[in-house]
Amino acid sequence: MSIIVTIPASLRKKWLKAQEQVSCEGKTIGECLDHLDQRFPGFKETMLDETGNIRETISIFLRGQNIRNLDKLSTDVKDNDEISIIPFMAGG
Amino acid sequence: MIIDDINSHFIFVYHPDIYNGKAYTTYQGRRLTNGEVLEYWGKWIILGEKSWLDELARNLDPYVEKEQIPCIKYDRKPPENLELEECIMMIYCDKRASEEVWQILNRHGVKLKAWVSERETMEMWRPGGMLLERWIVSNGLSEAEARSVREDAQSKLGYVFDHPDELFQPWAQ
Repeated sequence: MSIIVTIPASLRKKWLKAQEQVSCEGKTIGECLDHLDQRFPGFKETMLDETGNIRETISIFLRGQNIRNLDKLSTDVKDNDEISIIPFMAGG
Repeated sequence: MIIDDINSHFIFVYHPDIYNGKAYTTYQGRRLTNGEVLEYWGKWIILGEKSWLDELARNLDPYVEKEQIPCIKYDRKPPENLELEECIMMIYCDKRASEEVWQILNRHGVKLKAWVSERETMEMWRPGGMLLERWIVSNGLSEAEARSVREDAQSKLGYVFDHPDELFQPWAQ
């Protein structure tokens, strides 16, 4: 199972360097973030706060829809799905 | 038509008849009401270098002129008060046409797929909303100035929420 994650330069920081898109695996958004954290240590900490919830400064989209309006980190994903992550402020 | 006024933070792409009163908050040729804007209007978000967004704007301009994309707005430079390193482009459309618009964007190299509704945006810019309050702090406004800004925001945005049956009237940005 492969899911494509698109991350703009503002959020890529040290792990992803020039890669705009990376692939990951998982059955939910949360599992995808776990998988990416294994490949790029520190990634999850950028996305989630101390309570394990999505940071207020981050918005995560599945097939274009904000997962805050879906099932948040428990949102199911399927093969070839597209996840996009942007700074929350960019949505204004 | 690309409108690039150096005095504005934003660069716009509008239909040429915008100055003849042509509305852009429309769906299938019909102007949207306030309630319909809150329910259906929104934008695809794109982030990138200014030079790439300039090129994208030129490539998308024909679609705006053909009314396949209602309008576009993007930053002249990265919004420093939001601590962003890239410029943001917003491709506005009705949600009911959003997938068709997305296909156009994807054909022109856009990979990020992030839809933000206008309702959500307006709520962030109302008094107490994260974007308005952060803007007030980042611009170092006095209490009196902040109060004035909040009153203005409530007046403009509150009107949209409180008068759903009226035709939506955009305001200058």
